[in-house]
Amino acid sequence: MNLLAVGVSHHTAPVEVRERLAVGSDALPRVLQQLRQDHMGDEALLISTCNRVELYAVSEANSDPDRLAGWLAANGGLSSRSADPHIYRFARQDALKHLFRVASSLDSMVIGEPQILGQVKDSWRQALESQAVGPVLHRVMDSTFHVAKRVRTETEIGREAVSVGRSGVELARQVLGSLNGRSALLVGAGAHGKLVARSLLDFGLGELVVCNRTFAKAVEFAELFGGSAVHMEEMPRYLERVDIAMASTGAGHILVNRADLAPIMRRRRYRSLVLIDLSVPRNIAPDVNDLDGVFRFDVDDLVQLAAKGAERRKAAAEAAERIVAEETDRCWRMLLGETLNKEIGALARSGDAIRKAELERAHTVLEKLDPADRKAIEAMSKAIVKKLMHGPMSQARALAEEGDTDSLQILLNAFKNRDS
Amino acid sequence: MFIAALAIYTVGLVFRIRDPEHRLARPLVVGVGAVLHLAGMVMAVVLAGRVLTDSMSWGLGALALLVVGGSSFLRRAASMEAASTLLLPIGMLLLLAAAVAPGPTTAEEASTVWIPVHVAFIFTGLASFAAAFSLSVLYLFVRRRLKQRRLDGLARLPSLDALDTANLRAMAVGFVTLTAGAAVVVVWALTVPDAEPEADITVYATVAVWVWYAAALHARLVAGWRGRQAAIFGVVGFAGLALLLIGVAVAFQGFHGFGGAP
Repeated sequence: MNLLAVGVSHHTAPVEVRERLAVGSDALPRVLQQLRQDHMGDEALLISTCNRVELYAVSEANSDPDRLAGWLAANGGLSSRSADPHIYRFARQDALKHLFRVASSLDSMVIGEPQILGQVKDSWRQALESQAVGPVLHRVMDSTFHVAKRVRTETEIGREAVSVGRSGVELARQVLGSLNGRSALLVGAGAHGKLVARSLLDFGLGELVVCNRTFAKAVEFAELFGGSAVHMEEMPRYLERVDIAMASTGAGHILVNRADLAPIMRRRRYRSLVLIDLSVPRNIAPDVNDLDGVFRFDVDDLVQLAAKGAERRKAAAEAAERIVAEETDRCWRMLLGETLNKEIGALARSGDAIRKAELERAHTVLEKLDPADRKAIEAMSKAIVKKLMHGPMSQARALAEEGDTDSLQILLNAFKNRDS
Repeated sequence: MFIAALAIYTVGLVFRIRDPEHRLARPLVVGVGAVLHLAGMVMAVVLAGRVLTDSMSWGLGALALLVVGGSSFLRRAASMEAASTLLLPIGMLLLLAAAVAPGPTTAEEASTVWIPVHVAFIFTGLASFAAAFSLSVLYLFVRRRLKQRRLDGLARLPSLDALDTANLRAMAVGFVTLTAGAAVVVVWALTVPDAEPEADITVYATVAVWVWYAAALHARLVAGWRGRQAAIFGVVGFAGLALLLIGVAVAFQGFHGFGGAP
């Protein structure tokens, strides 16, 4: 058994690359199915957020992470050559540890931010619905959620976190000063949208307008925060009026471009407009930032703000890293133990089958013996198989203890009956 | 006294730049410098026995004191440490000019109180324009950083909106006091029997400055020019103003006869 993880994140790839590799929730079941059809793994999980696109696969012991990385690049329409420098690869314990770190928000742009766990849970739910998972990923994900919970409850990491939404608010304040009496337009009603709305209101926002492709969802969302809902077609009219506009949709294409925004800014008399694009792929064209009065930011820009609290979060993160390391070790041993027990069981069954087959072949000779002798020979055959298997099995357990999966696999393969 | 004050201001400025977290140190150091600065001004008046409105040195010293005061006001009133730090060197430059500028041209007291009032208004206007300049420079800096999305350390700087509002106020105060300063002279001229008002280079320069800031305020309040455009007005306006002052002082040796001018 091998666990592989390949992907890109805000640490390794700019948003231009991430948006190419991103997989929308609508496309996720198809992508997971394709992955299995292409024999990239027996079990698979895909996490696609604004900040990362990661593929986890359970496959044969010696499977190649480069192959999986190439598949991820090709799925996003990128050549291996252009995507390779951005894609990281992890295998076995390292892959497990990476997943734990991601879910615990230790690999997040803003360490300790709570959204990532929800996003990992959503990805897991979709993988379950797509029937792309099996017993190994079930175990892995149970442990992942357990680790994330431990990190959140046993460390101060969550308290020191500055969420993505809050970072967006900080940027707005850098341009607009106080948010008292200001108005904001939220395009999309995704998870980030909710966080942004909450933060804006916490900082004295006067008016919140929500627009969404599904009007009913906009209404529901607006009611939740005491804002008002508008149809998507009305967005340009509100862009003329509001001080802040944030996009957090899964539209996958540009919703606000320079040609449309230029006349709006003229009508605004170039009054400052803060645009925050929390979507990947992006919803607000980057070149709108060239317009006078427009200040456009995207998820990558939040990295700089997040760094502010880095020192404060450092101690909490160190404690969290210790939990992750401890749990990785525990979980990996558990996974190996389960695999080993399965393999040992299979080997024992295989050895017993050989023994029985050989006794069967000697059936005509054994028939002539009295029952006591037959019983003694059968006991002796069992003892021989048991003693033959004892040494290798002890060695296998020792290798599993050491975590030396490569040697373990070689050992187990050596005892596998190729004909069975 | 001016040189001693200048040395203390320099210490205060270095302190501010090298240890920005030390919030108490700079106001105290600059405060001590300002006390010395003011003492020098008062001592000159006491020794001369009159307000030295015909002394370029004293005039520049007074203007420098107003600018340093404006710097402290900015820091306290609007929590604009950075804008205050930008303004302080302008006051120091003016003080340096005051230290080397010529003293009074005559030993006679000004014939009217209108002159000190006129000078006070004009200098307040100039100090306000200097404040608008530092706010404008800071606005353009913060804007550039935001546009380039270089966000590290920006939280210590004021928001663009706060800078824009403060810039408008500084320009408005400068424009009103400059207008008042000019009006005082006109009223005074009208009260003097048989006066023959004569426009010199300083008057033309003042009119040019007045027109520029009138245009800036008009563009801001009527045409809606704000932000970058207003900041450019502030920077260009003050740069032009400084060049005019230097030109008038050097090429024409004075302001209305300061420093021995005709």
